[in-house]
Amino acid sequence: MKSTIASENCTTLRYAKVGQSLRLIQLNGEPAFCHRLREMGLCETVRFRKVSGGVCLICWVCGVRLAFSHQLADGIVVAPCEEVVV
Amino acid sequence: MLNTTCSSSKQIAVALVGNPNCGKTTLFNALTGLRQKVGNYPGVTVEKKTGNFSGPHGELIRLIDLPGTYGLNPTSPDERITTEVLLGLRTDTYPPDCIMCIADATSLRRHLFLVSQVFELRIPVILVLTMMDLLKRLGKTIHAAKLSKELGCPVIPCNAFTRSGLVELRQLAVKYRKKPPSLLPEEPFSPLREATTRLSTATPEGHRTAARLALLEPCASRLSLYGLPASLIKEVVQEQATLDSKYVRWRYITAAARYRRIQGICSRAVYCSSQQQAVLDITDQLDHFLTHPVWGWVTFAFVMTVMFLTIFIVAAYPMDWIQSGISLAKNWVKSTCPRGDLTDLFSDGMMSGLGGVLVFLPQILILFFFIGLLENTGYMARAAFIMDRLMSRVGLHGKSFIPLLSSFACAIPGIMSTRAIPDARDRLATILIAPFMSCSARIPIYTLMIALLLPSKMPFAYLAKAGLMFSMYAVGVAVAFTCGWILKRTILRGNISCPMVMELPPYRFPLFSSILQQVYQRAVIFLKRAGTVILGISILLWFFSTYPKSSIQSQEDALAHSFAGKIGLALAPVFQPLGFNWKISIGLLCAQAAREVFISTLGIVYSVEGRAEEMTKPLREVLLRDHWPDGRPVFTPLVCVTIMVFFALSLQCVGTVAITRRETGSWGWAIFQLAYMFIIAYGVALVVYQTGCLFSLG
Repeated sequence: MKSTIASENCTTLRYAKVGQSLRLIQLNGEPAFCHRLREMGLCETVRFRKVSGGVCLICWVCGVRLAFSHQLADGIVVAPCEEVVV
Repeated sequence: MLNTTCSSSKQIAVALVGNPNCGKTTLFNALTGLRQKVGNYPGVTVEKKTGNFSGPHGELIRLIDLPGTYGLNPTSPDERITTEVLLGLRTDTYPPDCIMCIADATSLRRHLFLVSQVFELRIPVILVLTMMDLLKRLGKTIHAAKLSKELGCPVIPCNAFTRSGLVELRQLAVKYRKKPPSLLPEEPFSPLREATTRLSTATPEGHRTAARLALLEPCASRLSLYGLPASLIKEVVQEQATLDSKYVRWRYITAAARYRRIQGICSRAVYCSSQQQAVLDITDQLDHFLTHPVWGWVTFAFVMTVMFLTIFIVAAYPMDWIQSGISLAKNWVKSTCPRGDLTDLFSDGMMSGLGGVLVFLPQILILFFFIGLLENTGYMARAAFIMDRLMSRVGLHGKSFIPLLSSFACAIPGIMSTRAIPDARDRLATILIAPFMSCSARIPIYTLMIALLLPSKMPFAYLAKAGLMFSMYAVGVAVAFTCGWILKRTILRGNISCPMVMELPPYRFPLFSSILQQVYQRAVIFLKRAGTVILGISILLWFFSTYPKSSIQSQEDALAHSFAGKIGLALAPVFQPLGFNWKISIGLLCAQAAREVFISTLGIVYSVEGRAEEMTKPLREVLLRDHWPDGRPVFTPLVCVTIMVFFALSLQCVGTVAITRRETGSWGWAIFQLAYMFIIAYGVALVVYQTGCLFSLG
């Protein structure tokens, strides 16, 4: 189960397009922080949508808006997917 | 120590558990009739609160409102309280007989993640669904009976405002005692399953739940929080090390399995009347603007400017009324009561002392009203993100912003809300700088000094006053950030603050009843403080400034001869380099208990000293007449600015010292905070005054 994430479609959350539906591929960073993100709904397998990219990145995840700092968004690897139903 | 004692047979203990900002405290207030603070941002409740309510047949039920959490592995001190209560680790709280899990129906999937963890505690669970009206607006419904069958626990849709569902909750709190089934009967990842089995075999029955949670704990330093014996912690560390060496992301498998199971449940119990595609709602549209890199800052500055302008413009009317009322009352006492010490005590001591502070009540309440608006609308969480980049440059966590913003109202709740900050060093740094934020107690001092500086008749007076007041707030913020930067690079040096993630609540129309309730509570607190601390100090100060009586004719010499005068004269050399005379020094000494006392002290000192015709004049006019022996005015613009700077940066609040001691668990940090803030306040005020004198501004 070693990490084997590589895909030409993958990008980090920071560079994903606003309005795009995304699938979480991998969380990088401190285990404690990844654990907290999963508890907040951002788990590998989850589909979500990036809705804003201002001073923070806002995503619709499991029916809630989660805001991420740009630094954090660099550690979140995502891939585009089909439209997410609300 | 594991607290396994059952609650007494007469009283049933029920705990409210849920994600942050899902409506726990609103339900708590609805059930108990209490009025705990609610808000529209995560992290309002940072300590457990208890209240009582009755069952259908008069059974006494103790309700425990716990801080919101996303999971049972705590990351911050407030979440730790929740885990400790649920695991029965707290000696001050019985383990609950029943848990009410609160879930926001609009984000059921995410909320059920915590619910599924709570199920594994093997304590009866009642699932309470809130925000059902919002769900309906989204074109969705939850089939409560079906969800109940899927989960194996009662599901009650509830609305605290219309009070629907409360009767069922009261009934279930008394009679429902069935332990819930686990949503994940078997650990899906076999190496983790084997590790759990090994750990369970070596663990006494009472510690098994805690041991399972500890095994998933990603932070080794937090393993001691689960109340496990040292030998067991060692085994947990070994098991984690084995899993870490073989598998990179083993923790994610359990989380993913939970979400898959929850997804299955939701697909069977949640119905969409129309297959809506994701569309941007009003909150998203507002967020595009309010979190914009440029417009976000512009809006933030605009909100702050409006707040300060309102504090001056709107509050001016009630302040005038209070001032006139106090003058009338003093006149009445002077004219109807016989001359003597008792009359002087009433008019010069109590009325001057209390009146001087009460006049600023409208400004303080307007400030609390605005903070309530920010909290209720949901803007507070956005403001935290606007400030995040700035905070991270200083070395602080973005979440530090909310405690710092709360400290503009009062440093005590501000310091308490640092419990939501995960990192201990970030938390301590925030506690140490929070009192630099200009709290409401500083408003009377700023207002009085600004009134001395800027006459009301000058053009654009309100704008100039608001600008000057804003600059004092800016001084506090700038020094706080500088100190934070220094602290994080010296005594609190540690890892770089973890990046910020936060749930943004939807914008909501403010609930004015809730805001006015908070404003009312603050008014009561202020009046109680005025009626106890300030009144007590006023009476004492009147005594010290009146006795010993002397035959000296000059009122100023008589005051100098009094106990207070002697103390002030003894302190004068310390504060003279700042341009303060001995009467201001008395004020600074008395203000150590609470900042507002400075105003009441000046009111008393100048009343005792003043001539009969000056007794009922506003304090501003009396202060402007004070002169040094060489004829120079005491309250020059430079001295007024120096006083404001000194008060902006010094810690003069016994309550803040006490709360710092409690939150840091150390008198050392509390004394350090008191000392370093005094040194900074004195140093900066000295630089301001002496620089001003160099340019002949004094």
